[in-house]
Amino acid sequence: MAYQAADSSFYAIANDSNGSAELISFSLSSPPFATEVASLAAGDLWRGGLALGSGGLFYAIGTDADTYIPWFFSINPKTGVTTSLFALGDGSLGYNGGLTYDPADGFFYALASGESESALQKIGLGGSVTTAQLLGLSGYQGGVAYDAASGNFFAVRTDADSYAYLEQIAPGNATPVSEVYGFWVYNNWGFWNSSLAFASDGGQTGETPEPVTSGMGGLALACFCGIALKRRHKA
Amino acid sequence: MARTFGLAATLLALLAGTAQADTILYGIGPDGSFPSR
Repeated sequence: MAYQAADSSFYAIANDSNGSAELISFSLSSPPFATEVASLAAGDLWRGGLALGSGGLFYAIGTDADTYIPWFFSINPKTGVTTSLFALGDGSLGYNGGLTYDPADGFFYALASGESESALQKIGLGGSVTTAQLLGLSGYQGGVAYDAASGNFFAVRTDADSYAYLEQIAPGNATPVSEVYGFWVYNNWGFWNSSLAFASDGGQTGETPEPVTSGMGGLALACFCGIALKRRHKA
Repeated sequence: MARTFGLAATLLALLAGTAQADTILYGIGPDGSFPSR
């Protein structure tokens, strides 16, 4: 998932059960309804994440359903044109943990999983792919987001018992991975499909959100939790 | 065009400890309760 401040909208990739995928957009006032922005190529599994790069282009990771080779794509939201740029390795790493962009260094960062552990991968638009940080654990499928304020990354990991955790990743630090205390959820389906993004709160955390529909109820509850945690953090 | 994210997913606002005052971490997660500890 990615957030575009210019139109105050979130963008995400929705996969259906027939193998089709679309880039869709929605805002905080629009759930559960979303708008189709572009159709994505069939034959690829679009579960590697989505990020907004420079110049208004989105970038996504799609894995070839036949060869399991992950590819890096650009998506033009205005024209709907999707372009495959380069492969991300030989398929030994599964890119299903999310994608984010650091505008300061111009690199993309993705979470990939190997046989025993996941890794934060640094991706350049020229085709370079290097490991920025080994994570020691696996189960990162809930997305990753770069926090410009701290220079760190945040990701959702689900463990073998289906508990999901929000974790902070600080590449190069002595303790590169730490759990963000206060976020925890048990659900067998968990946080998945690489969907995590920082965004403006739209003023919603300054007031009490009122549930409008059952779908909005979850969002309102989440906002409540956010407020409570924020206040506790400040205290 | 209405779309869903797999199961009845909900856009959830998470809180990152170092997030700026007006910036929230959002994720697409499961519908239902959102326990914290």
